[in-house]
Amino acid sequence: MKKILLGVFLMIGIGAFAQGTVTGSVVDPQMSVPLPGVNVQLVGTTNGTTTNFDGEFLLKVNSKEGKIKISYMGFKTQEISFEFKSGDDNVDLGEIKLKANANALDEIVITTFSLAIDRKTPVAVSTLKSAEIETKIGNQEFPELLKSTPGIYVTKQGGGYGDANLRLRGFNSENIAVMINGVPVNDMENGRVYWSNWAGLSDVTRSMQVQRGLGASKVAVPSIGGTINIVTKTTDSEKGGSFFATTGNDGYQKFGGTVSTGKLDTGWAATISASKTTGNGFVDGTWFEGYSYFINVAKDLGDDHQLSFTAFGAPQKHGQRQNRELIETFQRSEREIKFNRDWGYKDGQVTSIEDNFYHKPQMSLNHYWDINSKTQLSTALYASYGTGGGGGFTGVNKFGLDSEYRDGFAQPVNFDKIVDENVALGALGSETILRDSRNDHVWYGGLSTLTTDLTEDIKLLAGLDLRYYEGKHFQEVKDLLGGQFYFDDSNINNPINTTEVGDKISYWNDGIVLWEGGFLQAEYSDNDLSAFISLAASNTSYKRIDYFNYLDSDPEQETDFQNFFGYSVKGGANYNIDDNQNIFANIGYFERAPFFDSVFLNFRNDINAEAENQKIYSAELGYGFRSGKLSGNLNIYHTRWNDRTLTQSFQNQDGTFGSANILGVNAIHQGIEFDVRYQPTDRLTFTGMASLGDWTWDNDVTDVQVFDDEQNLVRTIDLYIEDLKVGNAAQTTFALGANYDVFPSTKVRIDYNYAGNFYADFDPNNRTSPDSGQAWEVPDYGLVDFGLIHNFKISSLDAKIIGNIYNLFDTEYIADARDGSTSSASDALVWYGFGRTYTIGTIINF
Amino acid sequence: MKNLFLLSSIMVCSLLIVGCEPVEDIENEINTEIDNTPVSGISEYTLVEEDYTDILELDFANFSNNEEAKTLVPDVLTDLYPFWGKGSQVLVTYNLYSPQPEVEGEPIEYTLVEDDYAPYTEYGNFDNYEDIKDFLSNKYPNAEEGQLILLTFDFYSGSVNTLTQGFLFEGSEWLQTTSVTEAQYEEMGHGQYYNFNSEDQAETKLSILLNNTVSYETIEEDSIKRMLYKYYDGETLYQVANFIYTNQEWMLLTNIATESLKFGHDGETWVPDNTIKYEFVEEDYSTIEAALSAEYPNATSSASNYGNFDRREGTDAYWNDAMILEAINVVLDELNPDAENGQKYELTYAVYNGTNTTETVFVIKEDGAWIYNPDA
Repeated sequence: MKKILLGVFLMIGIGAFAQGTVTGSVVDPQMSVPLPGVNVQLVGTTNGTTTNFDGEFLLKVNSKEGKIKISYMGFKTQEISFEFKSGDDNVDLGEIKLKANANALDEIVITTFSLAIDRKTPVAVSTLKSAEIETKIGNQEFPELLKSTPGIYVTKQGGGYGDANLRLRGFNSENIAVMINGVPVNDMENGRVYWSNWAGLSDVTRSMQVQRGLGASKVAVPSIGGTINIVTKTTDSEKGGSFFATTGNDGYQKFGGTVSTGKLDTGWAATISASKTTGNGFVDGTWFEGYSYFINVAKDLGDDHQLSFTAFGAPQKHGQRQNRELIETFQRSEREIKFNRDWGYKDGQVTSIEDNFYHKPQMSLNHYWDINSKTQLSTALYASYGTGGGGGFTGVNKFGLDSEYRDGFAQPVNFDKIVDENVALGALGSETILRDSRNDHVWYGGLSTLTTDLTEDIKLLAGLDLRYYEGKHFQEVKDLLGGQFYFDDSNINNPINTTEVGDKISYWNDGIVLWEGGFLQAEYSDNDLSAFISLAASNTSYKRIDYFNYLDSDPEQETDFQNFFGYSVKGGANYNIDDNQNIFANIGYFERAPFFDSVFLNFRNDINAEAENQKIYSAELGYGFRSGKLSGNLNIYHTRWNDRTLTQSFQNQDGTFGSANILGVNAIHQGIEFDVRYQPTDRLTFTGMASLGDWTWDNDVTDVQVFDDEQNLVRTIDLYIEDLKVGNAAQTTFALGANYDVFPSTKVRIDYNYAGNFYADFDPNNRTSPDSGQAWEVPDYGLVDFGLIHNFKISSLDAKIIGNIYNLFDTEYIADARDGSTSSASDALVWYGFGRTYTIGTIINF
Repeated sequence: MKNLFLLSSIMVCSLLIVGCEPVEDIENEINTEIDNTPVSGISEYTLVEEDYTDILELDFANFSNNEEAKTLVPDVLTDLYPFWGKGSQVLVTYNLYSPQPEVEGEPIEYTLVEDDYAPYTEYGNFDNYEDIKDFLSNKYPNAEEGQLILLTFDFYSGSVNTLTQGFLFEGSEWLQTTSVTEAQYEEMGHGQYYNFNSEDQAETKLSILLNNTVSYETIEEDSIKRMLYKYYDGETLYQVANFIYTNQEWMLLTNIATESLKFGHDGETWVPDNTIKYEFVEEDYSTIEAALSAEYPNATSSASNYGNFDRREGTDAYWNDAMILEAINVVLDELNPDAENGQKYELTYAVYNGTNTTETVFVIKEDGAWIYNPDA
């Protein structure tokens, strides 16, 4: 019966072609970034549409065959034929690659979000799109998606959920600008990026673009290593949604879904996404529970205005591994590379000494306004509220590796014994407790960019960047571990303080940061030549309020604002030699305010009169080659950074963690980067990357102050680091990858990543002698990842299975190392990278 | 097909590249070191019968003397703790054959006459037992071991009494015994014949008797009392039961004594060893500061503050090996001021070298001072 019906419909289809759809997606030729807003028109008619943010289009046509014209500013116009097969009412033209033209695109989103455009913006760039993120993410940390990008070194650090760290050209997160939908997210006080805050964002990321070096950002951002632009899905998503569920090693479970209304007739559109992730972690004691949510609501107000509200966040809590260990310790432990000293059992429950919990909802209201055909204004107002912190202990350290509070060497901690002792101490109070170091903040900002075409060739951009940030730092009692109270004498206003759970201990201070920035950029673009010059200036004001070290009656409890004027000048040009080749160069200089802790020394309101702006000079040359099957990029860079402020953490003499505030360090980072993509057939793609860095510290530093984790000055040391190689990131990396469509519905992928020329991070404590030599060189390693995607249908729904195996050969390797006193494998403190892990998941689209 | 070939060659290439485990060499080296670091333990052990008879193939479950124990016990320990190495210590308790004096043959009864006292006194009586023993040595120069003399003599102790007391020759000297009195036999239920039925019975009952007899004088620890008694075995015989006063109790001495001796593992074998293991405690660092602060103000204040020695060369609080030895002298002189030359210590103390860890050293007292033990 069904077959007959089907036959009837088919006959009707052949007899009279009523209406069909032509679909496809348009991408840029280099990195296959989807191009939104591309004009798609049926040749010979006025029937047309534009691509959505995913570069996809759907055009309704009445004829059985024809041609569509695809045009986009900055690219050559293409015409493509289509023909409906018998019975079909849809033709999928697949992925259409545009060919670059001298004049590149001026899309408002790209402008607002500071995305770089191939063969136009003169910066070194790599882009990941959502499909690649979806297939590769598995149980990886968000930044790990970028591990095959030149200049990037990513580690999971201790292995806790969201604890991954990314280094770009040897610079750590405080020197890499991270922007989400054009909004800067680096911490306003210390410049860092905590990826755990964004753990669920990968579900809703549309594209992730890494601009190495100065980057295309107009806003003054700390792009010393580079800029990472994350653009989330917005309302131009099609109507529909998806549901996914993933499982993996060590109890990994993730499920979630996304629903989009598409653009309704009323001009409204909304997208909602949520997910939950739980697991025990590959490393012992690194349990985690994370959620993510994302909501976007937008409305078109007439033809010229669009208003869009986005809110997202990823509340999470997870056990951590804060302590690096000797290789010997891992070898001696029966848990081997999974060993973690920072947890134990209390009342039969896994209890972390070191853990982390955070929730930082980020909200923004974006307004796009086409003032006229030549001028657009885009404005974002945003707010974020961070609450959370990291756990640890206070009081007597009972957590050493061979502590009597462990049931044997390197065994989990027996908290019950500590509880018994605290109970027995009675009215004397607990001698060992668990505490949280809280780091809450509120952040409000506004960012507005006006774009106008001065002439056909010259465009001018001007903008304002205003921010208010208030950080609250304190420790609070988390668990008295059986005792009646914990005695704390840190608060000068209440020196005899018998604290209970939730009470503040050790320190409590606020940091207030004001930021007023402006920028101006001129862009020239004519045929094969494009150039830009950009100026940005900002005033950073810091204020510190200290509730513990100063009496409430003391006017010194609150400092005046300390102002630092920073600015940046950068310029660059790109020249397209022919249809296949382009060269570019950029050069820039900027001065950046020192970090908060360098302005106020000693974790007190001691103002550092000699706090210097950090000064960065950078220059870069690049070459690009594009053809149908082969594309590649080659670039060299030189970055000099003077008066760098650097905070190094390490273990103190009393067993706690400490930090050294190192001011006035100079560093030189230079190198060569190369990446290539070769597609011999439609079904096979090879990718490759090589990055050779030469990153060194340039001078010795005297009078470095060393602090413990309760912010007390421990001592002052001289630091001998001249010519020391910058550690903690592999200076040589290369990657090879292959993607192969085994069947039309099934793809396999294999990726190889190599890291070498990798030095242990220096410990300031071990650099106190002029002849300390180089830090320990960590063994080179190479890892293979394997992936498989299979597409299928569940009745009419598109579904796919995605499988990933990371570190396929279970290679044991050291991913992080801190140098020891003999700069050798015998006393380096290390974290091993993960062994083999896997995920398998399914996505169903509806 | 061609593509499949390409793909597989990529895989093969990657396999070749990653074929080696990057940290394997380092791990092997460290593991070799761990494997070569012997297990070290501390224990106490009392030899059981099988140790003497099966392992050491001795006829009896005891050693003839301490020298034999020192030679043979290491074999038992090697068998018992085959995986223990340098630094291990075992306090071994073993049986030592130490025959107690007993009566052999016929007793001789003798009553002293006037002349017998002459060499010792003009009063015709004894007033101390040394003289009695001297008299016996002279009177019976050829006495055999186990000879009992029942001596009747006058003894002056405030007043003159005539006593009859047994003396037993144990080969080199005469031992004084205490005779069970008739009242005591009666008390023990042997008032009819004033003797016991067997040696075992005598030993059991005398033990009870001694421990139930009130003494108004303080008995010194390790005092020995030899009870002379009679028992019937076809005829009435004399015998002694030897008791020692330990832990405020009279214990019967048998022919087997227990001895304890500490053995240590020197890396190759077990040797008699007096090494004491000691781990520094918080107070020790304060003691060190008190003693050495004038000489090393920074180093001692750091050590006292953190409870460890700063071992990072170049810092102002750095402790070199010589300084640490000075600190060890301070601590051990406080801990064990009366230690004799030759006393050894295995010391563990906390250090900080960028991370918190410990170091262990071996010291020995020589010429009144503690030095790093060159043989350790």
